[in-house]
Amino acid sequence: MIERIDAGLVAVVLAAPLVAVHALVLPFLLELPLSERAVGRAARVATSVHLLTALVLLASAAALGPATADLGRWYGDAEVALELSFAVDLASAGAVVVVALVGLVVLRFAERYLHGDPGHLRFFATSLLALTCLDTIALAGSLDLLFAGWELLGLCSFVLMAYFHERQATVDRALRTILSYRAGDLGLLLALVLLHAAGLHPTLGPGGEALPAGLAAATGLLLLPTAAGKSGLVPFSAWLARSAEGPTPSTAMFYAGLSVHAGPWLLLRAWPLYADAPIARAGLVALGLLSAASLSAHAATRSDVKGAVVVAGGAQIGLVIAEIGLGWHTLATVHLLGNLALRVAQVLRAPDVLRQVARREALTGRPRALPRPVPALPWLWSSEGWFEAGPRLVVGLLLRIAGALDAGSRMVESWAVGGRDREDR
Amino acid sequence: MSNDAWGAEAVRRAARWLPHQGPLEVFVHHNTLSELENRPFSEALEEARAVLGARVRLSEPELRRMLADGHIAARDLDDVFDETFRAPEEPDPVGLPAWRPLARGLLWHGLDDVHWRVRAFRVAEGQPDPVVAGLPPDARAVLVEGARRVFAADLPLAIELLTGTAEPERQRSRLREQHALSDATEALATCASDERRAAELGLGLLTGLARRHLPPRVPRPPIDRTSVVDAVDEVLLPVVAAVLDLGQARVRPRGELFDLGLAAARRSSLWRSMAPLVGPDAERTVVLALDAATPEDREDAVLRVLLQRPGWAGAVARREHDRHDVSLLDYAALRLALTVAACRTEELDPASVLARPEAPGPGRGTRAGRVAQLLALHHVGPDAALRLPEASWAAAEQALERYDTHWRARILQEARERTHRRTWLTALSTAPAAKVEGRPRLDALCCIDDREESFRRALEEVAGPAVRTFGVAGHFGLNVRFRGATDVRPAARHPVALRSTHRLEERALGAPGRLRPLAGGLSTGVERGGIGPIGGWVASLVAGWPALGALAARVVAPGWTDAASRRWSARLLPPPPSELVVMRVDDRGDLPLGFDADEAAERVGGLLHTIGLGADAAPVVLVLGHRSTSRNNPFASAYECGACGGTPGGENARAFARMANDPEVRARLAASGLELPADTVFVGGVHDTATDEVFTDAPLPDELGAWLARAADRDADERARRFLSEPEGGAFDASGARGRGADPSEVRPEYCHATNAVFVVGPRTATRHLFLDRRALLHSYAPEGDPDGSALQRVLGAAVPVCAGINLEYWFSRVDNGRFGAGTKLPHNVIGLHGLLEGTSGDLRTGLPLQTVEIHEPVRLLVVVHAPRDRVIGALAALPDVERLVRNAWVFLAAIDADGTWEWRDGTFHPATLGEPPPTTRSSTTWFRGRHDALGVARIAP
Repeated sequence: MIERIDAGLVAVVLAAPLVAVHALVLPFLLELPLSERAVGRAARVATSVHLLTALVLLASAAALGPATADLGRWYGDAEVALELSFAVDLASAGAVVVVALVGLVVLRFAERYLHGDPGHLRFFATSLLALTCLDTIALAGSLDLLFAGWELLGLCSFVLMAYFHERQATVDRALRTILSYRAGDLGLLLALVLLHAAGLHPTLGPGGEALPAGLAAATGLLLLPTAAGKSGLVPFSAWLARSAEGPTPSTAMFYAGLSVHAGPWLLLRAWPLYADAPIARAGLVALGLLSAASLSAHAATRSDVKGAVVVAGGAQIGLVIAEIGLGWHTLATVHLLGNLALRVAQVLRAPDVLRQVARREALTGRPRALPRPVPALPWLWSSEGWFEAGPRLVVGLLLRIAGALDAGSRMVESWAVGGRDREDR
Repeated sequence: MSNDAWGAEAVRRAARWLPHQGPLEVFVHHNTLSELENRPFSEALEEARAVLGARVRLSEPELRRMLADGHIAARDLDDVFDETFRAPEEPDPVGLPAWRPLARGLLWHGLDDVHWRVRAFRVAEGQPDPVVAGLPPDARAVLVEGARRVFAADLPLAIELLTGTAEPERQRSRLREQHALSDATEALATCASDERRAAELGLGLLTGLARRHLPPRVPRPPIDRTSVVDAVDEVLLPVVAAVLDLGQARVRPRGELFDLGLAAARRSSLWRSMAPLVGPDAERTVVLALDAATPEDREDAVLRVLLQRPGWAGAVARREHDRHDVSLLDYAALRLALTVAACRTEELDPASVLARPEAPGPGRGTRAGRVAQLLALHHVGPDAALRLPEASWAAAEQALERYDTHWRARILQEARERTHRRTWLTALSTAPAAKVEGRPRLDALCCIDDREESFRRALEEVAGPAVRTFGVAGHFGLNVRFRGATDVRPAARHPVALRSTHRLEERALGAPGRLRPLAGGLSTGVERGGIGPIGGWVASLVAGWPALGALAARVVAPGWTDAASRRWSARLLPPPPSELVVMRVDDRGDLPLGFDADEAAERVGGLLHTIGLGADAAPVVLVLGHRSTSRNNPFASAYECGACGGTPGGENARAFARMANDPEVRARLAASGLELPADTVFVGGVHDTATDEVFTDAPLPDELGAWLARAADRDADERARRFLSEPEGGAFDASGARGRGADPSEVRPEYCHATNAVFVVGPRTATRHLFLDRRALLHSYAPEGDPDGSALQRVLGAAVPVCAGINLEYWFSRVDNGRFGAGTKLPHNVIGLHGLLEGTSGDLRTGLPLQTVEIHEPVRLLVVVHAPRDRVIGALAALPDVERLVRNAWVFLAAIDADGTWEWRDGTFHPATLGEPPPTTRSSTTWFRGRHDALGVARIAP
């Protein structure tokens, strides 16, 4: 009975944004007119239903304890299958409430902010889809399902970062971001391969069993690059500082908020799998502390508001991951949620910085602090990120390969098509 | 002067083309092309277009729409054409109309540049070809007849012309593709039977003929500079941003820009190519980098490299001018060396990358299509075109190049401005309402700002003849450097072109609320300390959800949250009680603090004398400055009072009122002949143009306060109508309009000067009866009290440059928002607390954002002076800056005196041609009810 209620609630939680996405995209595909007002109303309804259902789900998890909600099988047969099984417990329901809350606030903000912009529909449709992906990541009962949501979220992030796709630099940065995501995701993919090859299908959530020693260490270490890629930690932090390319609400929702905090969430959720492997835990602590140091140094050098906030948020995520590795999970959760809220708020009101600085001067009676002079070489090193040289080369190389493939395909196309009529008419 | 000094000289000359905008905290509207003001307007625009590659006026399609809507009168277009057309020296072409009718036909009709694939698709779908459908019927008739004749006379030739080839296979496939015909016989039959298709075939024949006769032109391959520019940006811009930072980053690198740039370059992949180009200093580096270039190209190369990122270069130039702690030469040298190095790395030719960007020319097909349209427009059918001599084809193309879209847009724009001027001059020349006798109950002195025009009108409609309003520049003649009780530094509160003469202070009388430093410290800790590791740790644990909660409250319920926050601020964080020190305190410091009685009397008397307020003053004279409150708006300073130098306008108003109430000042005024009534009290105040609130220094009598409140309501109503988000028709959301300033997600808190068009100097009686749609800046001036014209000179000298700056800033940001303006506000990222970046890369954006200029119609400012003509001429003679603007047609000047209405042209006043009188309406509200668009002038006759 509990399972059925939970399954229903989970279905509604996932469906609310998805239905809205369809409601927005179908008229567009059928060439029916869709006003901005309608888009805003659809988003409002979807996010409100989303939040209400998430709260009910949280209440049910709190009152009735952890449960598994099974929504059927996505694909497969008896031997190999991807089950849509969701783990509903206090942590995951809480995460869904946070996602719904942040989604509601930011999309309300975006309704006015993006008024009159030609990409209005694109923004809302992609953001609502991303909310469903985040729900999947939060509620996933297995690593496979989490992986599905994870990948799709990366794609949505890319589409939103490249919102102003007329600018080449914006598109380049978005490409770098998704390449960093994909490079990191290899870790999770390999971990899944290893686990399934060993015949294990571990579940996420409080009921999870520990893995045998070697597999636990391998899983833990393989999850590190995935979390690092998504959260912009070392050695993938080059894209983080340059992520504020899209409109302010999308930067707030994803690169200061929900998407970058998915990294520590993954490590928290998968904790039972590798908790017994000291080397994995040491890896978490090392990754966290190194990232915190590098990103803090970088944040101190940044002159633009959004970049400074996003990178400082990334540094705190490094500390969260170190806290997870040390086993201080309550602190890590509180820290994680607080950082999420703080950075979302700071990015949303980033354009206000001039007025805020003037107000602080009026309140304290002291003039604003000027940047402190430091030697040039450490500054230069910090402004690029301490561990970025190698990965930047790799990503640059990947971009060049992509560019060459693109040029090659264009050559083939023009040869195949243009043979008859080369002359400009 | 050493051989290397040409570099510094080239940089200095190139700096003319860079934006001159200063740090964003003080936004001053100024002419974006101010360096070109000594050239005539059209010439300056053409040069800007050539050098910068930017659009300099509205596009031809937009202007043509205005022609279709009637906003450009046909006779004005003809007049401008007749005045500006100069026949070229070449003789008229043979077989074609003469140059003049060719040009005129092109002007009136324009050219349709629809891609041939689109046209082929439409034809294949059975729809009419859009280009042919757009031709006038007589042109189509000529095409039909010509096509039929050619098809009948020589079918193979016709098919060959249509398809551009002689091979039968290719002919058949092209006939099918482009004309939806299966073979020659069907073509002949269709031509004979179907008129519409015959016209299309006729145009096709002309195009084919044109392609045969036009000389080939090798299109220049486009050069993709973006990879080079981006590679240079990656290395250079973080260093430049760090050097220009005014307080955002926590640390900055020590050293000069040149050394830092080299240090950054050494760590990049460009260093290997760059090392040989670097000298011991910037000058030598410029020489080495441009070693391979010829002397003419060198100067151009320096300009081009600075124009790769004009915003950043302009910021460096401005900082060099203001604080002398960076050098534009350093920036140029670094950028040049890096660009040449990047070119070598990418194996591109530096000369072509640094050359002037050229739009790729049209291909032969496009050119042929245009010539075909030209011929069709001028009734030269395919049969006549067969007999045209070679030279005429070249002449046709020459005509297209000479009278191209820029020429046509220029004529259309000038015609539009002429229609606009005539409409406005006619309206402003209408006889004013009869002067009301008796003493008014309230006199209001408002700023000349165009946003105040609707407020003044609303106040006058609410209270009737009991209220008089006057327009004065918002600094009220006080060129002060003001420091508030809570300010950490003084700021100039007057137009930026003038110098401060006095200091003004707000003295704290008591202690501020004790929680204020604590609140400030907490905020600093979270915002600034939150960037560091430990501060961020503490801030995220403690301040995260309160911060998001507060923001969420503002987003979901902005009005309620704003009211609540104001209440709590007043209770918990009250500013110290303070008094404004106006009368003279001491003479220490570089400027005297306060005014003594003589100085005060001079200023008060001068201003009252100019506007004609004296013995008939009301018992309450409200001196109203204006300001604008908005959240999350980096352009906040642009919305404040421009006459106060981009700062809020209330303090000057309060000071003026204080001075005018002072008994010693009154005594001196009386002695000099200005006898104010003894019971007249001046009250200072401020009008918030975003929220339509009015705050006064002292409480007003109830009735007057009620008038102000109702006027503010009407003003909000009128403002609300221009916002796109308002529902069509019906009532406007006035409270929504007032709440925009409090909503952090609102990118359009108000529309600022987006409707500016006219500057009127004269008594209010001349404009009181008119609905001016918030398009007019109004300065009061009493001609009878100013026989020698000195007051008029002061008014024009102070106000015209400010108003012209506003008008031209809006012009350029509107016509090319991507190049002269700041782009859309959505990705804006404040950098270094002085500038704006789009996202995290690219150029520093200057100018106004899209959301501010989107409803603006660019027309040059029309300055209308209600004064005798010779007084205006005398004032012009004494004001060289204003005279230059008028002489070069950056602003238009008109005078209205007892002899009629006069327009300034060619150095003197000519009688103006007036048009239809404006329509009449009962009240402002009746006129604008339900309308979102720009309304014309109307006469209000209740």
